[in-house]
Amino acid sequence: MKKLLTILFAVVTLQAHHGWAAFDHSKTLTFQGTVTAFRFLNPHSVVEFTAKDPNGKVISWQGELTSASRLSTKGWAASSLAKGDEINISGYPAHDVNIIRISKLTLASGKPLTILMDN
Amino acid sequence: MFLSLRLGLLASFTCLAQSGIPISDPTVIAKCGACHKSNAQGIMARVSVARSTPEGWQNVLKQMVLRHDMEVTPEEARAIVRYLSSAQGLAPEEAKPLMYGIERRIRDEQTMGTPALVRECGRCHTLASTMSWRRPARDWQEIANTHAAQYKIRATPEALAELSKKTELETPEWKEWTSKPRTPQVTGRWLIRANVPGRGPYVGELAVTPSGNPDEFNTRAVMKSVRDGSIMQRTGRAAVYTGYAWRGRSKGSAPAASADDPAAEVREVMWIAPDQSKAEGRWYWGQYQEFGFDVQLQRPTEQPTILQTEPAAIKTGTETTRVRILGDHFPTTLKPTDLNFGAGVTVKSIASQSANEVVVDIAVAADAPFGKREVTLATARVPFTIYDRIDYIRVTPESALAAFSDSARPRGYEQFEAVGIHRGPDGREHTPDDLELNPVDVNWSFELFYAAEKANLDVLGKLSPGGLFTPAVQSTNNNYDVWVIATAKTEKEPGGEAMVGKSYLVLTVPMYTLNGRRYIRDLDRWVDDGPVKENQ
Repeated sequence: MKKLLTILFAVVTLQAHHGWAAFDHSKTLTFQGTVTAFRFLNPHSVVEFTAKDPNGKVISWQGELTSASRLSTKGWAASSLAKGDEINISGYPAHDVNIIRISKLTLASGKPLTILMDN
Repeated sequence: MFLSLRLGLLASFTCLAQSGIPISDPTVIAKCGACHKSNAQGIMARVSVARSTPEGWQNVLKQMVLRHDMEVTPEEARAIVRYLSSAQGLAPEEAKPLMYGIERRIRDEQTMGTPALVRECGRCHTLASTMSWRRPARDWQEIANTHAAQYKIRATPEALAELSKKTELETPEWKEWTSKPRTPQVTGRWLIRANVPGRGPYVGELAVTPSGNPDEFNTRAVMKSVRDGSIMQRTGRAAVYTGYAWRGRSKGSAPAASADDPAAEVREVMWIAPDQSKAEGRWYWGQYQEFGFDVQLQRPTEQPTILQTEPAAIKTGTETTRVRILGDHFPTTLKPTDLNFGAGVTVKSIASQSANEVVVDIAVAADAPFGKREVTLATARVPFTIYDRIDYIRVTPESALAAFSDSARPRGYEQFEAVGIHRGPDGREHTPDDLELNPVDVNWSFELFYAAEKANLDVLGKLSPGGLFTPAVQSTNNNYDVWVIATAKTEKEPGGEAMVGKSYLVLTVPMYTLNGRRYIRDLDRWVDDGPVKENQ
């Protein structure tokens, strides 16, 4: 009899999709950014934000988190971030694209949001 | 057969409290009894201490055939499933929260149990399928022991205790449901309201006629697309298990012209309300059941019934908007004052009317209160929404899957829709009280998370102007994270830029091998198909 193994998203992470191996965990980038969209989704939630580069030019970034399913167990919701929110955000950069794996995220009020880094 | 089923139903709860449910069906006794011994009271080992849905019993029967060499003809298998799912099924109230699994809808099950239960059972099974079984604690323990021996997966006492508590064999609901015979009362005329993602709402009628067997029926549906007026006729056949569990098949009168053509042959799964006055469910098709009608049935009455308005939401400050009201048994002498859209909305005139459709022109005041309300006509009512602006676009499904094809499996498509959303009474976006409005006219596009600019996305697939993603014929043998992007043609953000919504699509392979084993996609997970064989 066939046996169901595991949910797709976990398996996909084992294959290509974009396992966290796509990120350079030896480097950390930190930004003062402005949220342009928060997408509370599976298999990854995403914070879209803008931040100025050293020359003052506004650059668009995508910050990735774990799944909405897992984040919701830590109090996250689709309304946890809204367009226009000022944030302090850190993360590990992907190669050649403006994407980071978020390691730390703090609201302008100083309130940190819990980041799950084990998956 | 039918008599024995009724006797089984009536007897089931009486004997349940003592040692299980007595088995009275000769086919079950003959076929299952070879291994599962019965006592003098008809209590059959293991079998008598379980209840489940038709799908649950069907799956366990397959397991007996595949793993224990049970020999059974298709007719015998149908008889066994019919008997067990009726005499040892679920009450309607027990089945309702689990219907999404049978309807093949992907749902996040994180909140269905404690982390232990979600982690341990949800690792391999949908919780909908696990919790469709009702057993005593000792039987769950036996299953846990089997899992430990066969799969090296051990259940914690915490998860077992929760499962046992949530899936008790003896329940007040089952006692009530089996307290009297439940002959399906489904023949006759039904009104249909359905929605097909990407094609919009349909309204129509379903005629159900006897087939000769007490719990099997012939069906004939005539459905009209609200969006384009096209008519679809469908014929089919359905069985009703346990007095309320509709399982059928139907197909359109013309062959399906494309993969997403709703004239396709569909599997029908519906939950009929205990009073048999309405039903709801999904009629689905596709390699991964990715296409489907969301269906609601209700019985017509001598009074008017409103099934649908088109549109279903209107903006404040609108001088004249034409609204179609579709339903049944409408008077044909209506006056504007016979229709009520609530505060701030005036019915200016009736453009046309028939027994099934009334077309009106309405005006919505600039200060009309926004939110959900109802349109009423005599005793008939249907939800309607007034809004002041679209706050954002939601692309559904918000998380999606599509699959390349291979030599054995067709492609898995994904149909997207863009819907306008209002912030709702709390004034905050992306909160539970947000209001769903009408579909938004958008341009569709997609992009890879990690693609270089001007990458050739054709190798992944195509996204049609109607939002249907079709994976490429040739698999790249890889998985991709894709943004499916809906850019509004007219709706703007406060800053003037076009409003945009996104869905997260994972484009995947239909099968892969890992450590010498083959895994095949099934809905939102992978099925271990056993060791890789030669020529695979």
